[in-house]
Amino acid sequence: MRPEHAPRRSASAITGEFDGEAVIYHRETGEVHRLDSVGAVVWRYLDGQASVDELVTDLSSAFAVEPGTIRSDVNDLLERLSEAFLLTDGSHHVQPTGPRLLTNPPSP
Amino acid sequence: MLSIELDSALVGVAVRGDGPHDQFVRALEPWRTDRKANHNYSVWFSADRRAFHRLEWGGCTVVRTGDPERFARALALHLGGHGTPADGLLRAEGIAAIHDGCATVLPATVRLSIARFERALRDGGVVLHDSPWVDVDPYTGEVVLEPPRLPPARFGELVKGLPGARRLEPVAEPGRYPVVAWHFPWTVREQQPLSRADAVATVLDRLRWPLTDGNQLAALGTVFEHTPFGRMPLRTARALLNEIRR
Repeated sequence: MRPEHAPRRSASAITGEFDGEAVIYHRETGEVHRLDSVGAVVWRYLDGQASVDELVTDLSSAFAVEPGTIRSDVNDLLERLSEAFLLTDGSHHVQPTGPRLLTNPPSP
Repeated sequence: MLSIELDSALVGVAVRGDGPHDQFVRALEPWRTDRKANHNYSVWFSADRRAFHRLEWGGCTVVRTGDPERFARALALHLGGHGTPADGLLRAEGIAAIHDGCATVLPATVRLSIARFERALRDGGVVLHDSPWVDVDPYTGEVVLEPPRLPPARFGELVKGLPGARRLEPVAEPGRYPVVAWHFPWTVREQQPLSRADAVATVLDRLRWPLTDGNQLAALGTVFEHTPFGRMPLRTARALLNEIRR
């Protein structure tokens, strides 16, 4: 993701924060994603206003870590979120079709 | 194999054993469809009073009983229990164990050993609800048992064709039951205590139907704020009963 790009959380993402950790549910894919406390902070600021560069600068000073290290982690996270259709760039629509075929419960 | 379509779910049922097959097929007539379903359930009737009627889901015995009335009700709850949950409810994986007006959510893996656990739990005052999923109201922290959407009365003729019960078995009545504990499957690889986020994510990961509103997720987190939860190893019936009764 480019440094000047300002990613935004997908409108299909439902988020809950519990004791610092985040749980994100994508209402169309049905996938669930977990973020640790640092990931949860990044997620909170993905509002389409802050650029990747600004995020890296802010996180670098907040956590007293080298910007280079932070940038790599932030890029990895953004890539993961994007692949999961959790950012607006990766919009994804699942159209409901007919009755659902019941599948059997998986073996534990 | 029969395919039935009920409440936007397509379910495949095969009938086995000795018993009133024709009555069973007639009972499901209004919901039969030509659409091809997966083979989900097998229904085993027994003409022998000493043997059990069984309902298998995906090769796992989920109901095992000598009480035809309970079997009819369980058929109605299972076969008609895969559609959309009522407004606001989460349809989660697990089994509702009802006791003392409350509910404990047990891991679905309890079903793998239903023969080992159910009788002991019942003798201890705990009734396992015959339903494929657990409906939870995250806003109130209650398990909600709805009346079967497939009327059990449809199986009246079938019940008459089965040998009478050796003993009547209690069933959980429809209603709302406060969740007093929520147990998840225990695994060898994951033995760290679950965080609240873990618990929420585990429930959401195995939801039968998608969340319907954005507030359900936060509400579920609130449930786990005041409800004990964790992974439960399934050892003996006595240990399970003690855990529920704790």
